[in-house]
Amino acid sequence: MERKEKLVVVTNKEIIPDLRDLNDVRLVYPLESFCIGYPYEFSITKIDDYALINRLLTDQDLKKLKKILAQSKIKGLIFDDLGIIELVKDLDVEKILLLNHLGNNYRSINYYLDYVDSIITSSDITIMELNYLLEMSKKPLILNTFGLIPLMYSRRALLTNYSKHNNLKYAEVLDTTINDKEFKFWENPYGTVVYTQKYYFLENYADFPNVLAYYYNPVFLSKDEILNVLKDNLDKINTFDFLQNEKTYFKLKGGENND
Amino acid sequence: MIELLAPAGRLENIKIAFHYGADAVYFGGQRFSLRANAKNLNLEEIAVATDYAHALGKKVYVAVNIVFHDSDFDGLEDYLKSLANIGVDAIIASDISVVKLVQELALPLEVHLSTQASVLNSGSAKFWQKLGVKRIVLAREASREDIISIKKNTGIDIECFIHGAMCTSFSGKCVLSNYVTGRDANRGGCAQICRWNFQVPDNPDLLITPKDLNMVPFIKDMIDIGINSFKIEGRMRSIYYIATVILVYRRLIDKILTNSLTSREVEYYLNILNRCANRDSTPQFYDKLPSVDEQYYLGREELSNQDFLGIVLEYDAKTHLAKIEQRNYFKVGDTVQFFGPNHETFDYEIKAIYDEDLKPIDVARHPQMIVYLKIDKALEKDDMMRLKIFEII
Repeated sequence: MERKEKLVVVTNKEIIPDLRDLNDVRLVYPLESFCIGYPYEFSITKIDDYALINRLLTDQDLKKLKKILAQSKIKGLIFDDLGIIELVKDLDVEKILLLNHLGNNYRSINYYLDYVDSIITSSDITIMELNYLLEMSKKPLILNTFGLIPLMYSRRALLTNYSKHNNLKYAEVLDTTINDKEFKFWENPYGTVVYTQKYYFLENYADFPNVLAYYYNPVFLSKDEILNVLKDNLDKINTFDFLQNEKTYFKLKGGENND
Repeated sequence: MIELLAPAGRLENIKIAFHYGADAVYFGGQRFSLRANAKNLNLEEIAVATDYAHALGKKVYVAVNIVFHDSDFDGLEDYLKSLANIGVDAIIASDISVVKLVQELALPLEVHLSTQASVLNSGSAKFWQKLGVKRIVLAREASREDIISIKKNTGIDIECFIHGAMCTSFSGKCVLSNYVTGRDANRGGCAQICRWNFQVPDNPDLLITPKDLNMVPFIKDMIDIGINSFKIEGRMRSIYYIATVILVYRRLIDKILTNSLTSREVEYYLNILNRCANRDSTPQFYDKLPSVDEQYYLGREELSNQDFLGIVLEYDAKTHLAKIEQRNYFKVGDTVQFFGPNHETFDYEIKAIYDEDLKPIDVARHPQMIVYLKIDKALEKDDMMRLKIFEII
């Protein structure tokens, strides 16, 4: 079987040399001032592989980004905001869409693939839906394989507001729960992300068809933990399957969908 | 023309919205809409609503704005064809496959891009514009500068929310509901987890609920910068809410356009809106980033009121008797207010109440009971009666 690359978001600075030594790993660097939910961000001059832009941008941001990208040596760009498509149209880099929660069917994926080289698959769909989506996709996709799920992305400074309202010391990360569900809030100057506390892991990820690469988002893990995850050793990692085996519903009467 | 766009979950609300001054309404059909658990309208009702609107020279927009899973597409093509045949003025979509399908089928349907797509910049707006989208409902997070820039760079029709509940998240970027309850937020099942309390060990609960949006202080500026449509949120709201909010914004816009708005009136409108919603409301992202003051810290314990006392069913100009359907308790001796689109709001002290047989009673205590009040000032069908809370300006 063809050995596919793993795109690993750099969430731990110590690990960079180790990741570089791995043949099947490509590094994804959160781009400074253009990301939310990451402990480390990197200036464009330090990025020699993929750059990640996961926040929504204003026209001012796009103008700034255009200048930054002009001086970059990046190999690829992973982004969420569709406004970036036109900006990087003529840039000779691999373009990958990270459609946070908005790419749940193959038709939409195929339309977006007219503009980009690949798309990172959604974590909001079941295994069966994912298989079908991959089979029907007109280009190989990047499989969302491992990591914390960003459950919500707000432009609001939710933790700053919390600390002010309650006269508490500000912390940029806060663990919370609702019943048995655990959340990790993370704020930076561009907003607040709510992550799961458990790590999503796609079961049998190597068996899916039409895959270009695997995407890893190991936020908060130590160097050793990340290296273990990349070797498929997840014994000490708190993982869960999110919605892989659970179909969501939206009609309340009888709990049945209208499909 | 500046459009005042009202929400509606059913035919009754649509008629009330138009009666109280909306230029257009938006609603969901029984499938493909992000309010899956609202009553919503079937195709027959959509046809009735469309005919009703067009007879008044007004418009209807139908939300087809879920984020589709592959299994959701069954019936979509026929549904879009039906909407085109009915002659609805536009659909509101967020999924690119819906936008493309309308094009591929060459349907005479205008497509408006839902706020669910979170458009915040000109590049993104142009992306959708090239796909044939005629109007963009901007992300609620768009600032004044963002709106000006997008309008200038694209010329596309811009629709902005001006009133109603806010998501904590960028719309479409939230699956808290999916995670906590299994209810799919992006397919109409949102359980509003952002209005729940998040427990924090050894510390107070974390509350992240925004106050409602209220753009009264900036309506003039929003007109000046060229926003085309002012959208009210609330497809599941009551007719009282719709009537109150639409009438306030109708009068506000009209007075701004005739340069006759006073600061006292603005204050009065703000009081009315805040009281009506049962929640505090405030501008959010337009002029600044929201801070601690733009959030709501009461959790799910929202205040409720029984301000809505009744709706006028008929008025007899000869006898001056108003036939009223009761909605909340009122009694002889209460001072109430009547409001409607075609007269100024006025106070009225209840000196007598008559039952359906015109026999005097002291109290109207039963929901939907029919009573008569003798009122000298002329009223119209669908005028409303509320508790007097504020002095009329």
